[in-house]
Amino acid sequence: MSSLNVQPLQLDKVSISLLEEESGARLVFDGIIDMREPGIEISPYLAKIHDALIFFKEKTITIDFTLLEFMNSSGIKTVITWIMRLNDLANDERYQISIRFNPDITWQESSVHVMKQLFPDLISLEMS
Amino acid sequence: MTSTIIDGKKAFVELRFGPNWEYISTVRNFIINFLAITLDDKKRADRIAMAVNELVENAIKYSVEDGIEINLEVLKNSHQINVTVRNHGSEDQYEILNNIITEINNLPPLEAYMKRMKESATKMDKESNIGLARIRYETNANISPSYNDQFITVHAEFTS
Repeated sequence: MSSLNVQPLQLDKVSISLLEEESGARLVFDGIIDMREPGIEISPYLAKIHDALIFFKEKTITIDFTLLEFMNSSGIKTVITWIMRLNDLANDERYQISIRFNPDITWQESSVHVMKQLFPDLISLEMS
Repeated sequence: MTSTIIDGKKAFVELRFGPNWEYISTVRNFIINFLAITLDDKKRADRIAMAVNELVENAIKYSVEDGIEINLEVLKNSHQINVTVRNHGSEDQYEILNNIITEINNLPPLEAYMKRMKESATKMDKESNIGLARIRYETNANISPSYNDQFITVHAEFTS
């Protein structure tokens, strides 16, 4: 796997870190997303990761929500907007997303299943 | 221990605070802790706290003056919980809100939530516009708005 070389994003209540592991890239969300406009800081970061995945022809990434205790609907919009960008790519450029979630965290129990239904060909779910 | 029942309520709380975004997480945590005492079901408490969070976010975004009011009551058998969130707002804002809630209520909850997610992701609008659909999907609440004397009130009824 090529080095994607994307530094972590550290905000007041949440950090987002891209870990490069033998099994592939894992994007770890840790904390709480309840800002008024999370997209201002998080969307450019996710766009950077999106571009790096395409550039290095990576075919999978795991979004790890298991440490994310809460996400408001503006945060959900930010994540969905990123995933929807995959629809603009040719099939051979697309990567697959595995969402790792913790069913004991209430917001994850329901929202990740809706994300999966929204993008059934792009997302798979992995329960921790 | 026997609970005291006031007007058919097992428990209730009323909050009023200034429209400052930084207080929302405090309100959400307060509601979780309040309901943890009252309800046996932690996930239900989490979902209702999420719903209050979304309602308060909307109220702050669209309030034209200070003073968001939250009223939460748990009815005596705990099967029904009523929440109202009230803010100063214009009649035009109420009409927009009423149209959104009508659309959400006219679709199955999952369909409404997915529709709002898709629309939200394709719009440049900084607001998500999916909070109310999220509430309906995740809690199956009955949501309705009302407008009176320059106040917008959103009512949410949660039944188990």
